[in-house]
Amino acid sequence: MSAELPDRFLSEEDLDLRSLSWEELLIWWDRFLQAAQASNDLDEFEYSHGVFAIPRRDWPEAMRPPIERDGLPPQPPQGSSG
Amino acid sequence: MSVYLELTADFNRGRLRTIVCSGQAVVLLRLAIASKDGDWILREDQESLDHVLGELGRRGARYRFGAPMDLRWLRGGWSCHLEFPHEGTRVRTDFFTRPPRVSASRLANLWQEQEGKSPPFTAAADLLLIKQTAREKDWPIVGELARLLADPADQMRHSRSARDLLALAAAHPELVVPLVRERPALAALSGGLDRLRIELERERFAAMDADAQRVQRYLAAAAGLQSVWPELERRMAELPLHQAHRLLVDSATACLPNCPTAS
Repeated sequence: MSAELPDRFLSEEDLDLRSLSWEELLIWWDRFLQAAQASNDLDEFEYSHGVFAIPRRDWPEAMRPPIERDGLPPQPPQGSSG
Repeated sequence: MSVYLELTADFNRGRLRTIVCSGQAVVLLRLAIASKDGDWILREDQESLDHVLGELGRRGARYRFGAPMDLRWLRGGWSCHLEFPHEGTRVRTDFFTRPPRVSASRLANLWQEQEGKSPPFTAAADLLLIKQTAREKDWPIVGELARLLADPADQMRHSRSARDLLALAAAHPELVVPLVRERPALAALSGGLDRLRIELERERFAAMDADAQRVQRYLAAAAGLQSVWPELERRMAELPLHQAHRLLVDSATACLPNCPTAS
């Protein structure tokens, strides 16, 4: 019966961090940080906390980068090979 | 070792100057690994700022858009943001001295509690206030943080679970009436599970709206700095951090109010 289940906010996998030793936690933490680098291009203009921590697309228009303001890719800087 | 723990140890060499906050504190509380950026509460004194900026400069950090690491802006609630490359990763570091929704007395207690701790990190009771942001993704964390609170009254003040609240009210009926004055959503305890769920969601959306309004005030106040940022960033890129910092302070003095509510 679903009425007997507790409310869940995080997954079992998340909460299983409690069962890790300190050394295991450090390894898992580092692996996450390494894997999370894959999204660096996607969150270049995002802020995780502080007073700028709302999605950049919700910033006032003049403060947004071109890709989010106009739907156009940002221009590479002068002299860039990319 | 996590780069964030290494940084924290270096920031706090000889003296407690920083407390791990936000996503990395959630890891240290063993709730989830969900953020790749580091956030610290910074002690609001000049020596702390100088030391932390020096450590970041040693690592080749550069400023991202934000306030300078300067007491005048940090006292106004601004945050500053820097990043540097480290062993093939991008390390982002965010700092503030006045975490949102944490009272001055709570903050003073936090600094006292974390003295001598390694690593020092934000306790659940403070972190759940900081995490009450406009972002949906922070609220599951708030829900689990509330479950870490030892005092049933504190759990009733902060729980996001209607089922937990009903169970707490059944176990501690004497707490309900006094706490309704602090948290009106608890009045719905008498209306049953569905009514309580709805009131908790109303409460959450109100908190999200309040945070969004807070952030919008800072964004509006930062418009002047944003207009000069592309040129400023280009000039700062050619300088070591301590010189870039001075350049940012000069620009901020001209176009970023110390406190957005006073602008």
